Amino acid sequence: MEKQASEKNIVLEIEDLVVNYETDGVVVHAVNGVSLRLEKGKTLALVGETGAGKTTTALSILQLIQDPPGKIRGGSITMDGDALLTFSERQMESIRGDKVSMIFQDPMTSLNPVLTVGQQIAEVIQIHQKVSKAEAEQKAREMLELVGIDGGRAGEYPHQFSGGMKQRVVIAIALACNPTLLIADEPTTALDVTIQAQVLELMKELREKYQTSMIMITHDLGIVAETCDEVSIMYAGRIVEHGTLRDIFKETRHPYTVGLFNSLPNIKRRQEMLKPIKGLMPDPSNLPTGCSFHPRCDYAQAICSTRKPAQTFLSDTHFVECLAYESNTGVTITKKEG
Amino acid sequence: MSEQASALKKYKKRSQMAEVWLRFRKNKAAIFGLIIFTCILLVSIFADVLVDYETKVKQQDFMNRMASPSWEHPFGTDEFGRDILGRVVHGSRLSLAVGLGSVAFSLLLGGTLGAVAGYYGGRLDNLIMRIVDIFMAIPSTIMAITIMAALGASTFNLMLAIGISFIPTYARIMRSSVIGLRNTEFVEAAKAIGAKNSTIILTEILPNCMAPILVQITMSFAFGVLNVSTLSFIGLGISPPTPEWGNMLSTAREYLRDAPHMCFFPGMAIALTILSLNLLGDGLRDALDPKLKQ
Amino acid sequence: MHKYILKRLLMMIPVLIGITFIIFVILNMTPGDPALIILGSEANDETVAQLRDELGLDDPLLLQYGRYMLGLVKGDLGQSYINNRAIFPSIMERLPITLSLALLAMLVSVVVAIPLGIISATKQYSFLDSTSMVLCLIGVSIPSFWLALMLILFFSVNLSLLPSGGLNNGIVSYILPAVTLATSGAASMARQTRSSMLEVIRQDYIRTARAKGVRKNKVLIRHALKNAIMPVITLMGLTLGRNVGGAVVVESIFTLPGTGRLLLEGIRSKDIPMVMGCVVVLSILISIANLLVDIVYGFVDPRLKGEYR
Repeated sequence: MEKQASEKNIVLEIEDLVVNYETDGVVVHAVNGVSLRLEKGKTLALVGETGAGKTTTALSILQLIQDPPGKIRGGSITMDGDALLTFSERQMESIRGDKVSMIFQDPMTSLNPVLTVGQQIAEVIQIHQKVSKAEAEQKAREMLELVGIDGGRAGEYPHQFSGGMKQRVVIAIALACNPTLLIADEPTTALDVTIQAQVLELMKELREKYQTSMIMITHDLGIVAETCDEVSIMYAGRIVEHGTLRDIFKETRHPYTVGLFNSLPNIKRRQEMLKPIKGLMPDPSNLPTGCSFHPRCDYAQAICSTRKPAQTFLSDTHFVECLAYESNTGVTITKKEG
Repeated sequence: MSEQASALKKYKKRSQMAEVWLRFRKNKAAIFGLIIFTCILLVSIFADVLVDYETKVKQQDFMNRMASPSWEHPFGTDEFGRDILGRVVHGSRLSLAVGLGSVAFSLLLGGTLGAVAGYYGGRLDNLIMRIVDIFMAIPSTIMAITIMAALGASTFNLMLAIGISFIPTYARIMRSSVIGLRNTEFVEAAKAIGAKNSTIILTEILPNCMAPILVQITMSFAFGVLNVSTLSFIGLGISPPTPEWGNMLSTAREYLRDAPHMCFFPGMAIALTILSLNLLGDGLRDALDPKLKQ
Repeated sequence: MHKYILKRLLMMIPVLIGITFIIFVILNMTPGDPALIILGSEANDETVAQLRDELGLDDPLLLQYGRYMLGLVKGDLGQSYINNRAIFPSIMERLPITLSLALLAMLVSVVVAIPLGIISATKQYSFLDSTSMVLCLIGVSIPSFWLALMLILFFSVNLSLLPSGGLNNGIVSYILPAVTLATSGAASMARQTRSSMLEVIRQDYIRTARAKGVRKNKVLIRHALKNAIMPVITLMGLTLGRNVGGAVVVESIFTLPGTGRLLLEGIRSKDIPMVMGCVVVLSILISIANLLVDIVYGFVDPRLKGEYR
């Protein structure tokens, strides 16, 4: 399928992941067969609307899905040759915060209000590294300095920091043990625009310094363009298009991806109308048959509601899940202006 | 307000109530509480129809003193041979009436104080709330005992003594609701068209803070019923021969060894009333504010 | 932190003045002339008037109150109408019993309720959770005096295991009274612990802690409980107050010679200074308990502590 050469550098590989939320007989299909792989030092963007299954996919890697109701129903997750889904809770605890770290969306609520930021950073160091309490505290202060906060503030509590500063603390916690993989779940959505840029810059800098691989969950294509190497577009629990940054931005193929780009205001051509994607995300407990996107797709044909599209590779790095790119389906996309 | 708008408002209100009821109905424990409480309420309203006061409650029968439960006296008889079932049925009246009275009294006074404090704010707010804080610092039992000791036992004093300790709670709930609503658009709008302050409080603010008040009513009603019987039990509430659950237990205590049944049923009645109100209150809270539901 | 404690202490003073004033005013509404109660109804008008003057009963209410407060500061709460004994020592003599009862009940409540609440929250909807929550519901609904009678009936009358009253058996004498008093407090504390644990467990920072690889149990104790305990601490303060009030009833049932019984005896014999003394002392105790709760709160919640550093 892909080049053997890069095989050795694969940090994370997810194969056919299925995650459901099951309550009182209602099954919400949050993730329906997601596969992805991530190379060392690379950044992958997971892009999609709210409810597309981005966060669920990310939480599955750490096995932090709320259970009940969340259940991983199939697939495999492999990191450095370890099949994570076979790991015990104890084994997962040793992975979390050490090999894989996560930054959550809202820094205002991500930190424990009754512990000092120093304690919260030192905690992750003490869990995963054989250091004394004093050493961990020293390291915590260093981490604070690293993310641009005066180390002397380690004894302060989260409420004494601003939103942007809190997110820096969260980043310090996430990077304290030098993880192989960093998952950032919309790390800047809750921040002011000016702070967003600073935080993204900081993350980029630190990631390059430590050669950390990253999964960046976002719905902001601007952030994707700034920070990512590869892009996976998620829709209704599946990756509908995947490619390098260039593939996705310049060779956009899937009607949904096209729709995402059209929903963005274009600063250069102001008079152009926004073309939002019609309709809403389908109810994940009652997904449409065939291609999940067909009810909202401008080019849908009868076959789209019966046949599930398969991955069609357009190049070594670029694939799309749309019947229009499969042979003999009769579905065509009439190209509009790029 | 245009007709359309008022129709919309009505529709919205109804659908909101319907939604609350829908959520409430799903809660089996709450429905159970509602049924039990309704039964208790009906029994107390129709006590005279169910059990004749003169022949069943007051009638003494010295041949049949402290008889165990039987067909004729399902709950047995007391130290004067009176039917305990009849006395428990009639005992519900005073407990519920005083409980309800104390809630009404405290709701009216506490609610008004809280609304005024919250709506006007400033120094008046400070003064009212400091006084309320002081009342809150005196535990309800001690407060009630003090008032009953000073004023003497009467139904009215009992309502006052019990109700006074609920005032701070209502004042606080009302105040925080009013503060939360004071600056909302619909209150601003009412002000803009020149509505009187009292009208705004009554028609705009009050309906919007019913949820926490309603929950508190069921809770304090339960507490009120408990306090009536507690005070009667220690001889500061309703005294015999008027049947009341607390004073029945107080008498029964003397005969604990020989006639435990005398103790069992009145206590059961109190516990069941309070339990049903608690279930009802929990259910209401969950139904009115789904965010709070665990 | 010192500033915080100092501020709380200072804030207590007006509250104490308010409480004592309210009690003073209420008890002054008692019908009947204290002088007549002391001298008996056959006393002639002259002696009554003389005694009224001696006791200062004809002075304005505020003056009487001022005099009372001055006495209170000096530990003088006046004399009993009935036996002329000084009231303050009589109360102090009985106070340890009430205090140990209230504190013991509190201890029982906390020891039972907090673990129960935590376990219920972590195993939500399990058999254990539903059983304990049903028990808690019954616990808050059962009137303490009835529970006391039922416990006596079962453990003293039927099983003859525990004494039904009095203080002749040392600590054993306290078992039934403490359990009676502890029940409703324990039940509401367990409910509160459970619901605030459930709320905290869903917070983002708990997920952050789990994402750091903190052990599940450690997350519960270090990260969740420390946040969830705050409303429980507030409830503890309330419970302590209720326990002191409840002690009046429980002492009367279990014939324990505590302050509560002194109070009830005072009411029966219309011994107003005694009633006043008991109520004032008990109320002050409760205020001190609330002060302690506030101080503990300040230690646990850094947001409060920060304000007064």
